[in-house]
Amino acid sequence: MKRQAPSPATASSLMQNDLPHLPAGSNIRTAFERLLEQPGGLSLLVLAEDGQARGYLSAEGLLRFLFDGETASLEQGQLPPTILARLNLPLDRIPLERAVFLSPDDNLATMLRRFSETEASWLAVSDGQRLIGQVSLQDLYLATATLTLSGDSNPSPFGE
Amino acid sequence: MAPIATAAAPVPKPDTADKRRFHPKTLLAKAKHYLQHDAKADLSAGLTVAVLGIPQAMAFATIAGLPPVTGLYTSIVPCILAALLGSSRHLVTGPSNVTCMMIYGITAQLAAHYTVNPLEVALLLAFLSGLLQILFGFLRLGAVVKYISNSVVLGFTTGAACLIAINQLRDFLAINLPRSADAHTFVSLWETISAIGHVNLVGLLIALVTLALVLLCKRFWPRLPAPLLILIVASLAVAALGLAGEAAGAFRVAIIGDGDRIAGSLAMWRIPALLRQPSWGLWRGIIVGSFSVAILGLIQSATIARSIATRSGQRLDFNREFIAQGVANTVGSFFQCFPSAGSFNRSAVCFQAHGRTRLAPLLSGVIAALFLLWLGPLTNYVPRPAFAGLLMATAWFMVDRSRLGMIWRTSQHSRWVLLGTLAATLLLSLEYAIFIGVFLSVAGLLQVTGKPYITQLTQRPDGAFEEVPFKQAGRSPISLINLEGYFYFASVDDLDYELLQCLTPETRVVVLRMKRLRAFGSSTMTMLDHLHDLLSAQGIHLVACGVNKDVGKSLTDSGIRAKLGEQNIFQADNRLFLSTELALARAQALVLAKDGQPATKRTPSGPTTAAALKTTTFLRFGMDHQLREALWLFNAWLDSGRAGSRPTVFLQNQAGKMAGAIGLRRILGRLADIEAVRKHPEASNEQLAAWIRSDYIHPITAMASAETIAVNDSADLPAIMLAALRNPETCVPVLDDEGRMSGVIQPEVLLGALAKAINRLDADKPVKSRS
Repeated sequence: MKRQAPSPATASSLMQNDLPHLPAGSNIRTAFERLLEQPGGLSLLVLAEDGQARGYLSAEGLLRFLFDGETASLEQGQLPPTILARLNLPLDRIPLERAVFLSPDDNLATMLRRFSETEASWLAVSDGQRLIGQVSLQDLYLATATLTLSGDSNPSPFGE
Repeated sequence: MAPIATAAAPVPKPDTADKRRFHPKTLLAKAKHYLQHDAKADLSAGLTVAVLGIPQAMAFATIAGLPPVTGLYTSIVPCILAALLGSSRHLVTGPSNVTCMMIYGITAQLAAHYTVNPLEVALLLAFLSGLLQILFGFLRLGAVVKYISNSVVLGFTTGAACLIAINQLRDFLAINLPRSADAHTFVSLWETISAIGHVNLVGLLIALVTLALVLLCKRFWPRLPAPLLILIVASLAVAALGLAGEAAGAFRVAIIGDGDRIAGSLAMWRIPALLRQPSWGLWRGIIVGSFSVAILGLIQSATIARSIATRSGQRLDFNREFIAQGVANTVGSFFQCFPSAGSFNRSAVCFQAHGRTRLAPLLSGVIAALFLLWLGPLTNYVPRPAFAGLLMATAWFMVDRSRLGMIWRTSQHSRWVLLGTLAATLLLSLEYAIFIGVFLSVAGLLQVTGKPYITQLTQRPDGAFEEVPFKQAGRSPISLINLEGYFYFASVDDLDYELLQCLTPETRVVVLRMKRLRAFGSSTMTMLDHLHDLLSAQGIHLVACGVNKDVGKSLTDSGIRAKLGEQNIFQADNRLFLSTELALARAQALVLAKDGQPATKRTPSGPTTAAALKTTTFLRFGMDHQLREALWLFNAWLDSGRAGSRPTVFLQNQAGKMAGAIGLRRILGRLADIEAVRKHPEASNEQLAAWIRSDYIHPITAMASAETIAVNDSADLPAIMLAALRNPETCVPVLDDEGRMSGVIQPEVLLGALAKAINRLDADKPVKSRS
């Protein structure tokens, strides 16, 4: 498959300006509800009151917290009764995934390297101190793969 | 230890090499080597061939309706010339039975019509057919002979054998009545039957004994020069008993010398009368015959030379062989030689008698010349019935019964070609028979190839492909059609509408596998274009896979590549079914993008079991792939917009069981982990792409997570949740009883199910969800 690689494939060209986020002061139930509304990423940026990024909350992180230490109940075929109580706890009880920041001019190689530093599904893009968008792993992958495949000199299996 | 040469040896320039080749010293050394090593074997082979060939030569001249001595001439001059100029070490050129039958068919009619000597017509035929053969050689048409099938050659040879037998029947029965001018075989047969009361019983006895002895000797003493010995004995017997004299009365046996007597002379040179005084009407009449004789002679010579070369291991230059045969015929016509060709019997004997160089067949020609000079007059006393007996045996040997049986059993098409050629040989003019045979072959071939082979492929749970008859693949959103065979104008007529017949109401994508497409052209491209339009009108995508370089070029040139879209065209790969697998992945992505509600929005409404939560649309891939294919697959998967929040491709082993999973994170992790990428974060995008390409062969199994926890259909929410917590990408594969994947539970679906379960536990304070 030959495609035009996005040019010049920098963080600013890949980022989404939309920043689904959650105030750090929210409780876990709210976070749960917000995640259900975010099927595309299953991950939310958690912002402190001063607008600084605290990290990313992912579905995996949420589930691990809800069932932490309760696998015995699950093995018995029951949802742990503690789950309801945990939903009412503040969000800061859940370990967040570390936010990694890109600058708008970062190229693909830099973005890949930064990706390997985090578990998050997003890479935040900041212009100085200002958060201006985020790059999803899917977009990062698409840009890298498209760039690679579009210059493929081997005729097989992606075209002459 | 010998020193190792560091410089290549100087290569001599061609002209220098030629000078060395033809230097007197080199030639002398070669001659010495030849005399020491090969001369004896060549002389022995040449003598054996001549002994066998001399009676044959006279007999074949009789088949052609020409004086026997011309057969001897034809076994001298063309034999020597073809051996000198040709490439085969064993091909013996001279009179041949099939060619002689054709010569008879052409010369007898024209000679009667224009009132000229048949020999003059035969010489003109040799001159013209030789020129055509030279032309064929210079035009490098050596490969053309392969288009004349076995069935044609065999049908023609069998027919010629029948004609020889019919024509010789009169001499065999020793009927001493003049023949009519009508040369048609069946007229001749009728005349013979009508004159059955004039059978000379003594002559018939000689013919029968000759026939029986030749057959017996061939069977029990195949290396004995039986024909020569039998003719000598028969001649001596006839002379001793005075059967050739007038005193024998009604029992007088006709002898060769009754016609043109053979003189012991080599005074063969003379310019053919029809070249000195051309008769243009006759020239026009002979031209088609010249083509037939030229082509038949070349087919025969090439077939024989190739047949022997397969055993001797010699490489042949057929174009050079064509020129040699042409020169032999053209020059031979000035020495009273009728058209010649390679002789299978004599060539096989030359090989079996250990002839080593082209001098072996050449020597056979020289020995025949010496025979003519010293012993030629004795051949005048050979009784004609003995000759006829010999020719009847020849006709019998010409019919290759085992190959006839093989062709008859092999295919209906070959059977019809054989029968058609045989009938044409017997009933029509011989010179047209071979063309009719070729026409029948080609017509049959077109009929066979005019029906392209179309099947459908289905993918088994173990990932392997299964071929099923067309329209019997069952109902599926993806119809995978395998196209094989020849797709020229006749085969693609209405093919687009035929292909539509495999569509079912479920069909969303048609994948055409084109790896085995042959002889496609503009008609094929027009058909594909129309098929694309027909499918588009029904909202069905067309994807092409197994596209080789030539098909790819045609797709580009015809504009269909642009119409289909580059993403829907998959190049053929030397690994079987790789491009098909990729095309199927693309088709699955298209189906997902097209169909119903996205998996991510799925809301379970029934009981919270894996069966209710799973989506059956997921991607699975064989385990033999590499990073390159995985890269593409994820690209197509994400591009479809249906990959969900945690794009995952599941691997399955040969047994169809799930053998691991690769999430987006894994593959992206691999790209980031390529050493050069890791060490050079400042690299340009182009460098990055090049480094990734250099890692293309990284096996996908090395990227897969083998410890993916799966559940079965009856698993409840807690069990699913346990599996999800242990899996790196949260996706939970669902397996059937045999361990094969039947679906996957996406994390967003799981989250929704958990919200519902929580709400059942605490209805007062529900977890709100848009879905």
